[in-house]
Amino acid sequence: MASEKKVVFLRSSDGEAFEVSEEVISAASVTIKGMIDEESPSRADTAATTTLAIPNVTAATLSRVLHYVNKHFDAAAVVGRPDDYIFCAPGDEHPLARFDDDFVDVDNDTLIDLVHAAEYLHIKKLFDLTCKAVADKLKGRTIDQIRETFGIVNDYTVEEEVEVYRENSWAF
Amino acid sequence: MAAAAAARHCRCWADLRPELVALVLRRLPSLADRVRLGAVCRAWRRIAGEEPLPPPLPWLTLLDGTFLSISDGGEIHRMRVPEDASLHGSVGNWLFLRRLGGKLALMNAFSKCVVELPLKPNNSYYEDSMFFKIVPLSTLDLSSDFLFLVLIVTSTWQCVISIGQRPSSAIALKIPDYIFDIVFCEGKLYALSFEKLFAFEIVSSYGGGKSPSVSSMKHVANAVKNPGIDLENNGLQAKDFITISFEVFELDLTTNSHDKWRRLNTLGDQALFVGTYSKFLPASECGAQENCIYFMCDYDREHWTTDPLRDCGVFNMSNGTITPLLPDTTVVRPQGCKGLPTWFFPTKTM
Repeated sequence: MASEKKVVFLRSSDGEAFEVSEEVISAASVTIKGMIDEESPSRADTAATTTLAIPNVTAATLSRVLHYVNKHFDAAAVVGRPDDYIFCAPGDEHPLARFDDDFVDVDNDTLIDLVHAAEYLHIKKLFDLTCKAVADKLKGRTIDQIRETFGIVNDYTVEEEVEVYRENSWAF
Repeated sequence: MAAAAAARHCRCWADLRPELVALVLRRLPSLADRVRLGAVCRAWRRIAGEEPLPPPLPWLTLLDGTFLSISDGGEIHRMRVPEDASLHGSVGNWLFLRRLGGKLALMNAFSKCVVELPLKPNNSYYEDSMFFKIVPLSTLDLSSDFLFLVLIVTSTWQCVISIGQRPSSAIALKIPDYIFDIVFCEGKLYALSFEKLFAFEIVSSYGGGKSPSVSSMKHVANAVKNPGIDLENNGLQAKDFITISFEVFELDLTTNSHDKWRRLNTLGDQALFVGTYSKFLPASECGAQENCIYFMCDYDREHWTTDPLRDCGVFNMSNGTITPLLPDTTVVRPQGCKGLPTWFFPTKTM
């Protein structure tokens, strides 16, 4: 029944399984909610626990995502657990603002994996948070710094390079 | 192994899918950051050029002829403006300039394209004028007859409204009251004096070869009564002013009541950049604070060398507090002063 605390297992691309509350993950991820809804008719009469394959997300990323999901979407955790208030300083806009800041304070590769995972799993709040974190990493950087930071190769021809510079030299 | 292949999945930022690059671009409130991100490589340049983006945060012109972006870092941009020009405002990407000899022009800050504006010739008003505000009455399209208005305040506080139409027609109209602001809204022109609000009807010639003209000028409402102190009798001048609070009023011309102004307690999710060239922007989209009024010192029409940052800040309508406009206020020396400070709202697509 819905009132019982059902769990589902999510299997990462590298084969690790993670347990998560069905209610919590359904509230967070549109993609997984869809998978669960599809599975429902076949599992209604069995007691077996569902395991869902998440082929696009590695264990390292999935465990981070679930950490975020449990913080943000488990109503009991957000409201009821006193240790959450440790993260909440006076003046913070949101009780989890500090948690969010720490959550995206990671290296670039980890961050981009989170962006992709949030997009694939369709977790809007996490997607907004990670996209904003990417944008923040780009603020005030020169073009060369952006290329260096994210390992992007300048693929312009000499003519294109001149044109790009002519149009935008004020910003360089 | 599958694990190794998965771990390498999409590690390269250049491979970020176009939608993701676009989403990151939308979250950069500074135009310069957007331009730089869009210039990194071919793929990102294409995305930056195609994607419709929310307006970036505005810039502020500084006395030394530079532009200050009010985004996080407060970055300063140098845009080349003709040597003989002083700056008097902006219309979108266009800077409103007064050239040597008194000619008025609009110059695209990015493409540097210049459009000369016709003014009634041999008019002595322009020579001793201290303040100009341009109001576009039609969209600024270089191929068509651009209709515009310029409010001119002379050094003796006389007001003249000049209505012009490209390429070459213009009229000038002397207004008996001192007009301190003028706006064009829903096809009508409104001018505000200290006591009255006037509405003008304008008839444009549209290819008829005649000058545009004003067909009527009506007193449609009284001005909001200022409950504040009598500044002039207290010997105060604009250079002494410090902003402590704002009150916002909305005009309702449908009511027959004597008092057509309604006090607004909230701007909702908008941010208001207030000045001679004011504008509402959707706050969350452009990275501004919602329900806030951004102000700077562009009101001292007698002193061109007033630092726009002398009296600046962000007024929060919900709690009445003022926070700094920039983290640490940039110091600007009035060197090479080129006109009055103004907001500039770039709309450049990359």
